[in-house]
Amino acid sequence: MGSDPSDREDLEKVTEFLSGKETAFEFLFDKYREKVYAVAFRFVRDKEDALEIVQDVFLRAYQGLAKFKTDSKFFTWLYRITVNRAIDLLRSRKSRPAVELAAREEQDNFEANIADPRSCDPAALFDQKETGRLVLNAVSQLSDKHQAVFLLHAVEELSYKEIAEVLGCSIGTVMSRLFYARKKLQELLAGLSCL
Amino acid sequence: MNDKPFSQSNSACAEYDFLIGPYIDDELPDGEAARLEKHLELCQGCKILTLQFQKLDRLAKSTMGLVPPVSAEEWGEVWSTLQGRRAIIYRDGDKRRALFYGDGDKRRALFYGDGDKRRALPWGVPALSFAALVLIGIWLGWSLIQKEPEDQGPPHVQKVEIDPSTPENLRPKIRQGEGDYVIIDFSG
Repeated sequence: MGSDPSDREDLEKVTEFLSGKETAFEFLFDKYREKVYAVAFRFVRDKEDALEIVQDVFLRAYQGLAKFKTDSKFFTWLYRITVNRAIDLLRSRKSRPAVELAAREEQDNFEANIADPRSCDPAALFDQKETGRLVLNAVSQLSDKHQAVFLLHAVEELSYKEIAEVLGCSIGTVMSRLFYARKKLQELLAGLSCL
Repeated sequence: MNDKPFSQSNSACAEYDFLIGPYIDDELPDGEAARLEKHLELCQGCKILTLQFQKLDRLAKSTMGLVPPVSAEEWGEVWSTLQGRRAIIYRDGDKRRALFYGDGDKRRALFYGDGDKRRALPWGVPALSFAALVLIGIWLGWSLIQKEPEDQGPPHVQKVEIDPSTPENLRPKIRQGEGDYVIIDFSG
């Protein structure tokens, strides 16, 4: 780890920041804001909440950068903060069903807008939207831990090793959680013709 | 040939179920991958499961991969809010240091002696423990000195002489109290 030019650049900026150069932090924000936002959005499925998480993540990074261990990747460290913050928000939402409902409605609107505009077939558009809704609903039924592993692997395309580092668990645990997440999703989506 | 779907797969497949995920993710060692491939040639159920897991990943990626765009103005707002919150933390941090440690960080000097000898000279903890013991000793001694002497006999014994000429109805009345004492009522 740390041999990639991008990783080396990150470490240089972290070192610069810790030696008092504030602009180094701005560089890291510009470089990773989109990625952090995308990860956060995939968990919480709400733009405003995702942007709020971006703020929190970079604020925590600003406060805790001195604790960052330079033998790990900077973005893995940011990922960990992001995932933890997103899971916290999901848990707080479960205790506030009205907020959850509002986020789901907003997500439904978003899904309607992202349906492939090239498809002129209303039935196909409906199917696409309905499939998206079912997949999101099924993923949201997974436990926090299973959801995190599945999203980090299937959507973020992280390796098992990277997921283990982000979540602070073993590779075996990642394999086990991913297996049960897929199994559960397969059961929940058994009726889908495309599966 | 086993052609049962995953949910009904038999116990013989249990050994391979768990390998399917790492296999499609290219996370399985070569030897294990070859063993699973042999099984997949024979087992229709596990083959279907493998295809379904692959489709599931693709479906999740296509459904959840897209995120709503954030405009430059929105990023500007996020950054300026972040800067504001950072400023608050920075100021508070400075105040806290100043409040607790005065000018400069004297915490290390207080606990560990001069400079960075935190590990080499950890005299602060035993010194504080000794001081705490001394304070406890002083407090215990003070408590013993302040303690009232124990009762030596019945309190408030008073001899009362009554003039024999006092009419009966004006003489003090004696009645039993709740403990081993009496109450003399002078109210008449």
